[in-house]
Amino acid sequence: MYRALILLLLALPVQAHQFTPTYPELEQSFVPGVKYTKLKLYNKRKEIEFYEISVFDMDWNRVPFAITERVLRVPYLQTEEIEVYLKEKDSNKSLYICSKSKLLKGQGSVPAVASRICSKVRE
Amino acid sequence: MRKSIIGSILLCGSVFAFAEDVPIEGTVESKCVVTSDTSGVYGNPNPYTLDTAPGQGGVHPIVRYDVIVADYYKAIIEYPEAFSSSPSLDDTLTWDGVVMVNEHTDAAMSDYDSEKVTYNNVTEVTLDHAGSTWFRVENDVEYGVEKSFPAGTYTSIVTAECIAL
Repeated sequence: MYRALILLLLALPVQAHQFTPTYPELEQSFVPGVKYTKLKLYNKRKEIEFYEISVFDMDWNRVPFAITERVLRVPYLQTEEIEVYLKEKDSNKSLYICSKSKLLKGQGSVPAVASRICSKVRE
Repeated sequence: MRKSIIGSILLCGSVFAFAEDVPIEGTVESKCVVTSDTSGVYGNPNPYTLDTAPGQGGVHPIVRYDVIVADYYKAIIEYPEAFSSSPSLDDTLTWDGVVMVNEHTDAAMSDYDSEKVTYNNVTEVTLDHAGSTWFRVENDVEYGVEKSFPAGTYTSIVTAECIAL
């Protein structure tokens, strides 16, 4: 009976998530007062299709930013190049730009590892 | 015979004339790759415990970190302290867990276990050696005071983070 309680934390083969560069540099965008940077997200996690982008300061407070879509669909073995736009006043401090895998509720074989990789924008 | 030799020379000459160098370029840059390496399974050694220990019928989940350059990232791994999905539970859950180095590609990485910082359900390790490290996440949970878990599917989530230093 209790066999029913045995469950999978993760029933998947090797899967990976990659987010580069480690230290992105901000550049002036076409909008005055707004800077931007480019990052690459590579999805080698077959069971994951969506990643959320977030920006934090050094105390892990959320920092406002602009992006085409905060939750990106990145198909398996695809690389997505993203542009993150920040206010110039926020660009003067160190920031983390993070990508986090999104797990779908009720997926057949639910992955149990949520991965998050954060690049650092240096002051 | 002579014509065929001359023809062959001309043919070779024409091949060489069109040969070009085809470069293969690559860039090695600092990066962190987080990989969910091994399936995790909760064993159910008694009615009130779920445990990933092999001795209890479970399998520890293993997460691998690959870093190209040392001292650029730290790993933050959290073992679960709640189910992300489960049958309805009306009693308390007591969670426990630990994160340990399971394998490594550099002998010096064995220091990670002594250097790691732990608080609550979080383990932080500065990845100060280039290469791959496999972290084993041990996790168990007890329900109430020896109360039986309701039958059903239980899912929890390990969070593996890689933060640039």
